[in-house]
Amino acid sequence: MSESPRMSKSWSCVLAGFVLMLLLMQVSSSSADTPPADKGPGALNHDLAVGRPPVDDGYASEVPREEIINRNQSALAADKGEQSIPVADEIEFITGNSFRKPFEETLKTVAKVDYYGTRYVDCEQYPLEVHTARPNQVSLLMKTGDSSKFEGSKSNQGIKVRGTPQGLGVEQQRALLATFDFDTPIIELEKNPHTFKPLGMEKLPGMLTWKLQVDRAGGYSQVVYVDSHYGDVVKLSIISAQGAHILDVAPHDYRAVDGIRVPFAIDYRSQEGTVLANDRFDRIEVKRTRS
Amino acid sequence: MSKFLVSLIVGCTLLAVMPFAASPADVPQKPYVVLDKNLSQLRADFNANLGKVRMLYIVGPTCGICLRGMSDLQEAVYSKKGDDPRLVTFVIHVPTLGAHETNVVPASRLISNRHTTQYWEETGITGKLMRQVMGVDIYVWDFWTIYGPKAVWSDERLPPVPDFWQHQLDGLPAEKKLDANVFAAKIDGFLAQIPAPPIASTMGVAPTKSE
Repeated sequence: MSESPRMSKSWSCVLAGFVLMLLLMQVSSSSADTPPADKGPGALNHDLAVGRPPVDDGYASEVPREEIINRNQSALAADKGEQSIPVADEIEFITGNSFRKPFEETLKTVAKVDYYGTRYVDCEQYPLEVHTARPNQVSLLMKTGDSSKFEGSKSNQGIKVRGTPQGLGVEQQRALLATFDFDTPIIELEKNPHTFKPLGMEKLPGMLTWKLQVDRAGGYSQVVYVDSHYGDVVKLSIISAQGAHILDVAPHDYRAVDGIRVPFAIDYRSQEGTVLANDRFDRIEVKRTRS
Repeated sequence: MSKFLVSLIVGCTLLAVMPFAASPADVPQKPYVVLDKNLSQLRADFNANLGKVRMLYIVGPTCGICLRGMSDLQEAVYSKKGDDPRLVTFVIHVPTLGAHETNVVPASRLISNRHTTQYWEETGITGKLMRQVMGVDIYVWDFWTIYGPKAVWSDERLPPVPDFWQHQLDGLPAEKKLDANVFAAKIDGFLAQIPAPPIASTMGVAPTKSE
């Protein structure tokens, strides 16, 4: 018994050493197992910030500086959508689209664009005219019967709506007018690179798109999907100030008319994807400013 | 006291062993392969598929233009040819533009094909080796290659010279820019060298990844 305290002390020492050894083993093992790529969002940034060459065999150690640049995960454009893919330098890639450049330069010289066509709703069809002008003015005239029509406009005096639109509700038509923008996202981004919030990329049927978010007049916002090849806006989701989805707009059948790219078809869908109406244009007229 | 000591020792041992016992069952398998700097797994996979048409892509998983290339090839090649077992694809993700391993999975979804293996190579040596193979002055990524059925990766380090390649870089010939339709037509040309599989074999073949 008298040895008991001594025994206990020495056992305690052995145990303490044992536990310490195990702990150390685990710590060293876990740090060796953890891939350097998981060092954390700031790791690359830190290395570059202090001007150290990357560690041999480590993260990006074989990639030239100009292909890495000073970027980290927090600089990637992304939103929380499951379909979104985080990307680097989204705005730079959108504005750098060389296919798009000549069309954008021409659009800057255009004062008005008039669209003539038809709105299709189920089996019904209605003659349609849309007149657009700088800065962000739009008026829409749709014959809904022999003596009835729907008129909507956005001007300096605000939004005006008269009659009942076909296919879309009055609130949806009002939101469409309120969020109308004469210029393309590329021109807007050239004016102010912070106009749009980059949200990464998203695959739509048949094409990969750049995804952007922008605040519009009347408290609305839009999520804009831009074709990654041609720079055309191929989808717009209009969101209310309260965050409610109002309408999906899908312009397509883009063609060049007098040096600018214009859609000859627009589909309107609900959030669930139900087609509400289709606009088809057979004539589009472009009017330039006096140079 | 001895009882206490025994419990303490058993307790400590269990504590130490627990993480090892838990890891294999709990850690989900990654949908991609992590390569070492020697690219040994890639080389093994490449050679294991001798006799097939092999595509090897070097991409940055956060590079929008690379992603567009993957999406274009999905439309022009994979969605049209289905899971043809004569076609095997290796997509190597490298750490350009600040990409990390976490970016591999979202990017990988752009190609949907049973005979495609995605890899994460974190040093980026793949682009450096391909630069050597191609004899060019720039780091090679956003690079899209086809190897015919006879190609063998025999060198210890360097992959073989591709039988056909395209790119989306500034420092390489403009006429070799990635065109998914041209790329798909080339694949057809190589596929013509291999007998078409019986229809049933396209339905239920085992993945070609050698692991």
